[in-house]
Amino acid sequence: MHISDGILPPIWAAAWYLVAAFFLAACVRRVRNRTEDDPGYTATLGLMGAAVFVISVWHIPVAVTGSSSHPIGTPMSAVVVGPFATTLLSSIALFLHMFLAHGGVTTLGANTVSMGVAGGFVGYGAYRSAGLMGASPFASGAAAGLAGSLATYMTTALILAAALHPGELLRFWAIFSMGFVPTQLPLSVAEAVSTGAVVRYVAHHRPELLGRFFPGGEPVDA
Amino acid sequence: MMPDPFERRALAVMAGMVLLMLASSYVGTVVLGQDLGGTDAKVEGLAADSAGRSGGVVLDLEAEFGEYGEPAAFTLAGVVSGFLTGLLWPRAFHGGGNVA
Repeated sequence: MHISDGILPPIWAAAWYLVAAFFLAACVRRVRNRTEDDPGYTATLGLMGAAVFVISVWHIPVAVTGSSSHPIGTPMSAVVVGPFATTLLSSIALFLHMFLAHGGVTTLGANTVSMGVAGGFVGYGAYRSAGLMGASPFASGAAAGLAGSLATYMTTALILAAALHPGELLRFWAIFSMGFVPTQLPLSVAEAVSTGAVVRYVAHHRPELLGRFFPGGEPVDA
Repeated sequence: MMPDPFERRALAVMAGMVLLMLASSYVGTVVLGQDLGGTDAKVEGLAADSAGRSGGVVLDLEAEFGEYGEPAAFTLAGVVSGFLTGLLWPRAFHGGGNVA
């Protein structure tokens, strides 16, 4: 989901910046409130920030498809620190990724929307839905990882199709999505397993972080 | 000093992941002769070509620092982030709330 500079026409780059700015404004307010309420939240934010940064540039070779790709880490972060904080963390990670030849200045908004907003919120939604249906922490976390990872790449494909071929949006969305699927699907499954394992670990050690959806948890403002 | 159970599990997970990646890289490059390039770049290139556009990066690590510039930068970033994650993980999940 690291779209480079020059790919998106300026009007689309600006539009995605606006969408990202809307979410980031809400994110900053929520993170400030939670940090004031719980000083320990800062350490968890730092942990998730470092984890999202490294996971989302961690290229894993998929031999059978002949290419490599990376997980995103934002579904895991969304479960632990909330989707709003995750959007903020992903924007910081994406800014730093620019210096690793990933992403760009003009596409920072679009990349934040795909990785932070889509990955975080869809992942968190899947986690909450699974939890409400009685799934275990592992299964709920796995649902978050799978849904968030796939949502990120589908959103990237949508961003590319909308900006480059608005007249044939659905056709090119499908084409670009199919470009991602062969390599990304196995990685999404791996991200589901790893996210499920982390959520199970957190449920055991800090159940209050997981909110009211599991025994021992307390309501947490996402 | 012997690692505690958490450290042993973390080291085992790390070793497992490294072995898996090495095995996949070996099969992909040596056995199957593939380049294992990034999917992001491939799809983005396809998209850009289809619309007559071209992309660029803020810092071209290969052009600036040579063949090993990008792997070196990724290694450095991974080491720093990994140490930060390792430092903060026990504080976040084992040390309670007063650790900021």
